[in-house]
Amino acid sequence: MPFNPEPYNVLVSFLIWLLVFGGSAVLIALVSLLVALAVQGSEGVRGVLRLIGDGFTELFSLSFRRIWALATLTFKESVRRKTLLVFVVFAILFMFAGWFMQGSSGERADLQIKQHVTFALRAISWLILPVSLLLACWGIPEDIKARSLHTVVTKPVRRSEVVLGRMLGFVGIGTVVVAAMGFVGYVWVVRQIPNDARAKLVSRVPVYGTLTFRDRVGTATDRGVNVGDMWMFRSFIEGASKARAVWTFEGLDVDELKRQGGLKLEAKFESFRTHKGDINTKLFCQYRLINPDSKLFADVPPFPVNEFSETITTVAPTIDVYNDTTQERKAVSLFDDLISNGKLTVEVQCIDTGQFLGMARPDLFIRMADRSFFSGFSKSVVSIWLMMVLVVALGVTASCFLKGPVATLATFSLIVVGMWFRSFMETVVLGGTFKGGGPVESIIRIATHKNIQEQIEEDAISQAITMVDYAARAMLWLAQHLVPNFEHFTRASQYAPNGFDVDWQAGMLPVIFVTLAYLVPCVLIGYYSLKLRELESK
Amino acid sequence: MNSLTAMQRKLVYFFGILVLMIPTMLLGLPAGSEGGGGVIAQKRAEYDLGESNLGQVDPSSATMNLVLLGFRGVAANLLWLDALDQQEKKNWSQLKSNVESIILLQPHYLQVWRHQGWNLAYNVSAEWDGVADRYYWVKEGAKFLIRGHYRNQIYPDLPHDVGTTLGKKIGRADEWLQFRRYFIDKDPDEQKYGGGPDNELNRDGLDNYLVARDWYEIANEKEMLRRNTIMARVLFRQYPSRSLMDYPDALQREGTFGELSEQGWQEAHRTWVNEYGREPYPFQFGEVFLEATPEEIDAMAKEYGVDANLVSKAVESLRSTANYGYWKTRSRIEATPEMVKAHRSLYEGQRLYREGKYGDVEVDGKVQPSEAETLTLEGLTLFEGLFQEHSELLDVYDTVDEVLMGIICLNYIAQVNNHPAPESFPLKSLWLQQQIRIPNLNTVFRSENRIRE
Repeated sequence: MPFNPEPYNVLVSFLIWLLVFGGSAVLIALVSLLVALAVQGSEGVRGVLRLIGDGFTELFSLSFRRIWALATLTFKESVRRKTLLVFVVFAILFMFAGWFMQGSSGERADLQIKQHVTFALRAISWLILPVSLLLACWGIPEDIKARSLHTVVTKPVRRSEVVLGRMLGFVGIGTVVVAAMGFVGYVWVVRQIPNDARAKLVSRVPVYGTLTFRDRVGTATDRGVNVGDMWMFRSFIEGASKARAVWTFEGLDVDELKRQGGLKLEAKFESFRTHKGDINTKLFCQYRLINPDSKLFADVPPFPVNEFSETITTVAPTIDVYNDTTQERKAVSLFDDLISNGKLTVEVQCIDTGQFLGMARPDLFIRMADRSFFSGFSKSVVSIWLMMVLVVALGVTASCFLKGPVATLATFSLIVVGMWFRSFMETVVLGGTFKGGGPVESIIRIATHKNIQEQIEEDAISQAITMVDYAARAMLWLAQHLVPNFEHFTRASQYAPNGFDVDWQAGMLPVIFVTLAYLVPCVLIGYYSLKLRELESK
Repeated sequence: MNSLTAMQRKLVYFFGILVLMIPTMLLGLPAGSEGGGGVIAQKRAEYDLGESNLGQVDPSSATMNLVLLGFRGVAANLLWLDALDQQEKKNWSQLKSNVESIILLQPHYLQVWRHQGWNLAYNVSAEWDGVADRYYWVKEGAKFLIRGHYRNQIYPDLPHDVGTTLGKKIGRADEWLQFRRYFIDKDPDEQKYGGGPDNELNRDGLDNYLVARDWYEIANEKEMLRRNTIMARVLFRQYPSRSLMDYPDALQREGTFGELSEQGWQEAHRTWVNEYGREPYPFQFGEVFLEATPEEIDAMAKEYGVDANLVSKAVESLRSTANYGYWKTRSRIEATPEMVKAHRSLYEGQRLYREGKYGDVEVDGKVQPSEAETLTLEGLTLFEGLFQEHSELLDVYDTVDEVLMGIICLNYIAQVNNHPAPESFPLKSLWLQQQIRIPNLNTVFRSENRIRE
């Protein structure tokens, strides 16, 4: 997966959450009411409504003292269950990992950092996830089996407090483990990185822009040329033509740039040659900085492209520009003349005739003042911690209505699907073209021997079929959103290994939002499940 | 069984265990110092299946395979898929670490080493634009193959591949000139190698073809005990000598002539005839060798009790497979001072042309042709004589190309001096005969000399 941070739209996500959460709640309530009506008549309906009302009452009469007491007990119980033995595995891993990792990445500083940081973060997440999964999924079922929950529920403790107390307790022990591992991991990375690579052990702060292209005759286009690469991530611009890659940056902090003493552009382009040319010289590239409002521009001297590694170009606050028309040289101020209201356009061109340069959106960014490595690493650890919180919430919820092994399997499946199949599900649901229509249309096509190319006659029946299929698709959409998107956590943990600080908007916000978004429904489901569960049934 | 007491049942189990242990112990007895030991140890020694028999032992690899139990294949498959994906996405560091993991799981699967060594040296290096970057990946491929050889020392294929990577890849790539300088004199990573060659590959700063020859020699040594899986034996075993021919050829391509290249060709010829030519190859009736004279063929026929024609046919078939006669003649002719001089004249003529020294010069009021023209003509004249003397040279593509490029150079010199294209010149008949190849060679000449349309 290429490192390609994309901004996260909180408002859209919140609306989707409302729709999914509200839609599911309404759907469950309706089904419950209908079933109750069918089985027990109006008494049943009153019972369901009372249950819903109880939920709201409990929500507003939670005792944090009782939750804390339950959380403390859960914490102690987890310690008794030898949870902290995970540190032994962790210690063994970190004691010997250095033996296998030294010098195995071609000695390039950024690659060495990437390997070490990836290892540290993966070790933390791969150790904490199974531990929290097992603890969370087996806690309540074990309590029920050992009848210790019977003692608890006879006390003035609400079921929602049991759920919350359990979650808080497991999160507490998980927090201790993650914090300790994070600290050791940080010290290990800093100590393991060879001296010559330490200068690169920082958290870069990038400002990404939006990318559009212009083709060889100067017409605006979404993508550049495809040079036959199987990987479509980058597209290419032709050298010595009007082809350009155009980045538009917005929201630039001019004061900070001034403090930095100029503009740092960091690029990672790919070269593609259609002829051998001068093999001793790398392909050349040139930036043109343009004021998006006044269209005033200044060219930066061309530079050779270092493929697959960073090329940093520092633009001074004042640029000397030669005017072809007046044949005069003029000094242009970067901050006053080129950056307009925090906006700047950067055009990239390839200088060499017949050669191509490939680029994608994250391949060029404005580099602001670096932050410490601790900043990026600690935020990555926080994202792992949030993932652990989510796993605990899911596990405890599942354990409220399932037995230990089944709850473990169910939560594990959610993690696997959410981590590796979420994009696939999105493609299936939002992919657009459904060849052969939805389920009903497909059945009709099979029955009538009509292949997917054949049009179905437009009439009232076909319209009804489309409506039913649309509803089926909406259900799929709903089902897809019920699975937490763990890919956000994977993305958040990619920043530190790639030498970046975790971006608030694109990295931290999604993981915080996803965790909170599932926490609320999980508590509710857990509460109702535990309330309706027959505790005597082991 | 139900009639037995708990104690009796336990005793039955105990004796059952003991009985089963006896054959297990007999089968699994450790190998003795003189090849004894259990059946498994004996079979392992017989088929060279032991880790220590195959090459260096890597404890982490063995541990990994044990820990994975029966899932080694699944894990290896996943790693292969991931490696392919990383390569497609140009994530080279991850590709490399995946390859490292694969070889931990499959340390004795030769094709893994061969495929990935080639992949790194040829495919990954070609993805990079910078020559130094490309060279880095060629070296990575070669080093990977060398590691493979140390882990699997009984097989001839891997050292042969190392020879091919160090010889042909470095010596024949588009960037061969730069690669050879990096390999022989100065690695681009000055910080690591202190301004000298990469000491892991070329400790003594030798020519890449000479280092390749050493690896081919190792391959031939291994090949005496175990068959190679790459090519026919008679072809496989010619590589040390062929590498010795590539060495003076590369020197000449770089413009190094004289004693060094002459001696190089002489040594190559000697090795071809006296070493490669005398190696025995088994046939049904007995062993024959490539350099067998008619008398020796008769003697062999007598010794094996077969018809001399049969032996002669066997020798001929070997010679034809190995193109033996051609290389024998070529190395002999190339070693002659006339041939070296002819190469040098054409090379120097083109070098002077490239340096812009092609204009007519005035000496004592008379217009004289430039040195570039004189040398090119001299080279062509020498080649004309050599072609008449050794018609087999007409089959040597490289030599014919060299001559045709000389004639193209002559035409360009005439053009820049505003002379009409020469009516008569040495080897005109060859020029007319090979017209189909001229456009292509013309493009190469223009590209090498940076001539624009």
